[in-house]
Amino acid sequence: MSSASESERNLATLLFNPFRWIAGWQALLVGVAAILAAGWIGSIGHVHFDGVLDVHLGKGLPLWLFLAEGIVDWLVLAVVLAVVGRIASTTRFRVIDIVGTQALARCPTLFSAIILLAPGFQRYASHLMELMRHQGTTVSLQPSDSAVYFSAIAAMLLILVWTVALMYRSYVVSCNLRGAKAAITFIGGVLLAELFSKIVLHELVIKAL
Amino acid sequence: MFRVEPALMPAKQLPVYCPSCAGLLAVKRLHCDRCETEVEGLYPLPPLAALSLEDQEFTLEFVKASGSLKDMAGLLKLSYPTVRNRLDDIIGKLNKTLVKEKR
Repeated sequence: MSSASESERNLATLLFNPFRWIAGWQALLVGVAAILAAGWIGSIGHVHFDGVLDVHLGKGLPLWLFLAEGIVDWLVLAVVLAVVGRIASTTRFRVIDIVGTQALARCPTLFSAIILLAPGFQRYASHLMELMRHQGTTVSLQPSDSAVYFSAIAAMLLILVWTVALMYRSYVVSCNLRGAKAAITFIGGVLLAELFSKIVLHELVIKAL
Repeated sequence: MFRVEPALMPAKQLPVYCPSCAGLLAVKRLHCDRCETEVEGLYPLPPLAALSLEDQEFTLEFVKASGSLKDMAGLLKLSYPTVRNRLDDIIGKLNKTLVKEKR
């Protein structure tokens, strides 16, 4: 049997297509734990995941909102992709696979939340926000703060690319789609989910304020 | 001279398509290793023979696992959707062969 070659793991596959080995409930448990951890860490640094692909620094709001943001982002995208996949795919697939692997695909957001905790990033971001509000800056910056800030932004962009790649692989593996059909329906699904998540999160923020 | 141990040699792949016109091949002669009897005729190849050795092995294991994708995923140490996609690929190949056979 070709199990040895089938299950052969290399770093690139492990990073960009872990769904080859993990899916369903297993992926769901790991993914939800990572989403909640990212929300909790985000609440410390006021990092909001306020949209399927969004990461922003914002106000300190109740912890439940930070936790809910990640859950809403994940569920909205998973449901939209499940519906889009059902229409586009010619084969039957399990909803738990797309829901579980989409949760796992959000694991990199945990790294974003941790990186944005960096004191240098927080100071420089506060400084920029005060400048934008024309309040005059009260933040005492350290020489390395701008370097930390721009390095964190670059890291976040890489993490975003990684996350989107994982979301795409999750969709492709779970719904058994390939080529242009997979790419077009995925892009459409993400745009739709971004819109829906913004609407749901807007309602939640109003409740929290 | 370099010699490959028989155990390490891959099993021979049955030729299925004609190297000249890419049409499906048929069996013309069969041979008994025990008594040297030879049978000549024209027998169509079963569609499963058109699969690669790996796909044939997968199909065999799938049948042995009573058609359980979950068991196959455990056996291959792969996720359920990966195994199901592999099966879908095999079904696609079999359908293609069946269409070719009908022509």
